[in-house]
Amino acid sequence: MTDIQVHADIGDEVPPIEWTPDTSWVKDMMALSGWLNDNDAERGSMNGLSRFTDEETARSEGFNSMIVPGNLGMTAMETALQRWLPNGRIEKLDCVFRMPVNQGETYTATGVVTDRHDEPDRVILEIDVYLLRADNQRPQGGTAVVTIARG
Amino acid sequence: MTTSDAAGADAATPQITFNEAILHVEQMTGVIELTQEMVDRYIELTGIPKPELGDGERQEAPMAMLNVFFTRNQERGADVNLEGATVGLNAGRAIELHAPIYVGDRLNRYAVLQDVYSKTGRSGTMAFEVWEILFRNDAGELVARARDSMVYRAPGVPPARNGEAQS
Repeated sequence: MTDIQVHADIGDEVPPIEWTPDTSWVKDMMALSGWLNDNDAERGSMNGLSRFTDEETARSEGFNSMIVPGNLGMTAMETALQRWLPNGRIEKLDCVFRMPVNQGETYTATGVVTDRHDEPDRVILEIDVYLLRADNQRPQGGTAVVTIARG
Repeated sequence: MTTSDAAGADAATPQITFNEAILHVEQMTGVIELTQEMVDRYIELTGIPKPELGDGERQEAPMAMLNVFFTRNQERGADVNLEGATVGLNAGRAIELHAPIYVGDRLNRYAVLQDVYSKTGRSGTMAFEVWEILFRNDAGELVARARDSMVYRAPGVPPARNGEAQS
């Protein structure tokens, strides 16, 4: 595995993973961060939160269905990167959220290496990463910088 | 509350009003203790491979896990009070690690409102808030930094037309 990582080069594709963020997953992630309390009830009456946990509120705000908090899409890109480069350290992840990510829909998280810098003790990869929807739209995308220590 | 010309605004872009007192002010917004249980749960939920650790090696927290800890309600101190802002969406985020973050670390989180500006296009006016989120360890060292953009639709006061006075 180490060889694959250190030999990763410009043009290499990040092996795609499928990601289907359902409501239960979203709530679990929100609970982990303290965004939801232990009873899965929303804390206080923060505007904008219910679109993630309540279908009616999401529709009233103009969404087709409940959406995924934008920042959680980045976790799918992180997962794709870390599965491919388990010993790599993501030093930077910079993403633009172009359109909402819908709960229950399946997305592909993938990317491509765009640059490589060799240093004596490590390799630095610059990687374009994105989420791909079934209709080939990319609701989120950006760049990652991953360093891999030379074994 | 004061009224500000949006950065880069043109004649068709309305003025936006927000709480300028918090602009560029670092606000402490909480302490995060990265417990083993939390990191394990994050790994379980995301499917990130669990690292194989050597003897005495400390487990690093997954990078984007930090991302989870600046959800909108948590990242802010005093509110921006952006006048007229309706539905807000996260427009993007950039996270940079400055030092490894390990299981068991205690991180102090700070939020700084860096910019508020508006843009007007075919679909109307949108206002953007740009926040910087800083994570410092107990020694005060910056271990991670993030930039977070929020976009709001239909904010502000409508622009003056044909010499009409702006209120």
